[in-house]
Amino acid sequence: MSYKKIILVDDNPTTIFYNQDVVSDFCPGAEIMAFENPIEFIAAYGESLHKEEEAMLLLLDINMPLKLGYEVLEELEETHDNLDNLHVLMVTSSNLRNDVEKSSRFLCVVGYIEKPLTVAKINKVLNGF
Amino acid sequence: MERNFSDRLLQSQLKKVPDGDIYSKEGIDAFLKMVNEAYTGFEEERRLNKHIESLSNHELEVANEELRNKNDFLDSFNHGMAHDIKNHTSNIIGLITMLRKYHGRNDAKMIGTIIEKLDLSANQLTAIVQGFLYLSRAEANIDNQFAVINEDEVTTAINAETLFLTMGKDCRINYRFEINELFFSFHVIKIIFVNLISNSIKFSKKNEPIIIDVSLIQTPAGIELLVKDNGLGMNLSDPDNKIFELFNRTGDTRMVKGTGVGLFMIKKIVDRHAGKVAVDSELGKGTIFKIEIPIK
Repeated sequence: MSYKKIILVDDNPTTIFYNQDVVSDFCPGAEIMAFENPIEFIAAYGESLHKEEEAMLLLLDINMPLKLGYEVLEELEETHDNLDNLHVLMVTSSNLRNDVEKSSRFLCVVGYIEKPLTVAKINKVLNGF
Repeated sequence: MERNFSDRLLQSQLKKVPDGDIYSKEGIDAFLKMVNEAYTGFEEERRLNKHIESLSNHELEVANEELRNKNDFLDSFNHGMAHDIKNHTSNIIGLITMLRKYHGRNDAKMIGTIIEKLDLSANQLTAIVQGFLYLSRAEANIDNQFAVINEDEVTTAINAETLFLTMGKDCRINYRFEINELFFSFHVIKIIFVNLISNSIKFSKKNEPIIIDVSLIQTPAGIELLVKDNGLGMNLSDPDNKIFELFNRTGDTRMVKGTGVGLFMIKKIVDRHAGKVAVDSELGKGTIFKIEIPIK
């Protein structure tokens, strides 16, 4: 599975810095967009990203002070017919069962990854190896 | 710490608050009340254990129930703490992986950037852990290790502990010490100044030089610590503004990284020394904290 566009949403700039490096190894040449503020991501999706025809990979942090990961998905669901162009990987710092339960109902969520992110973890979730 | 724990706990606890809306005033008040009650639970738990032998069966049941509730809170408290700490350790582990990769490529520029980020993460982690160490009673003893206070030692310690916040910022800290053979706890003075100055930097205006006036003055009754900034300021008449409560990070402060522990900790330390904390602030102008501690 390869993507032309990868989106990172995480409130911690150091995590973004590190995750950027990991996803550029995972998908060399992909365009990477990063948002420290989930509200800005929701706005960007509403403005233009929802029109993207090719599926994009979204790495979404669950614990953010402004909005929880699944709240971001809830909001996107309310304002868009479908989120078919998003393959979402929920990124959590503790693999909370609670977190998984709360986001598993979203069709666009393809998996969960416990921090720190690695290429091997992404491959395992997306490609099964 | 730093920052997400209170939100998560708020969310999990709100199930117990009828019709609780996650960020409604009622929801936040209920949450803060719970946290404060549970914190005093540390003390109560000890008290309960002491008297447990003299209780009747019925009283024992009540006491047990109370202990169970405190334990539940401590569980979620520990979990939240561990979670916030894990975020930073994950970053550190990730950055070390990156360091290996770019070391293999001899990319000196990238290595330099990674080291800076590692430094930042390690410092943030230390700040979290220290905050909680200071909250624990076990650490209260070092409050009472008195020594002759030396201005250079104090300012050096402050600068070292706030370096990760001032890095890359136009920040000027003016020190004014009027002390003469002051015999007091270095630890108390340092922790108060470090926390207040950290807040001044965190809540500073963007695109404006940060100016912080710090003074330590000896008075006939004791000492006076002052920290004055030109930052964002706060609305003190807002009843929601309970700045001295544990984890109180409401309103705009949610945009700023922090643990919600600093001022609570200062208040606790100052209380232990029978001192007083006063604050004056104006939105858009800045904030002044004044702390008076009597010395016998």
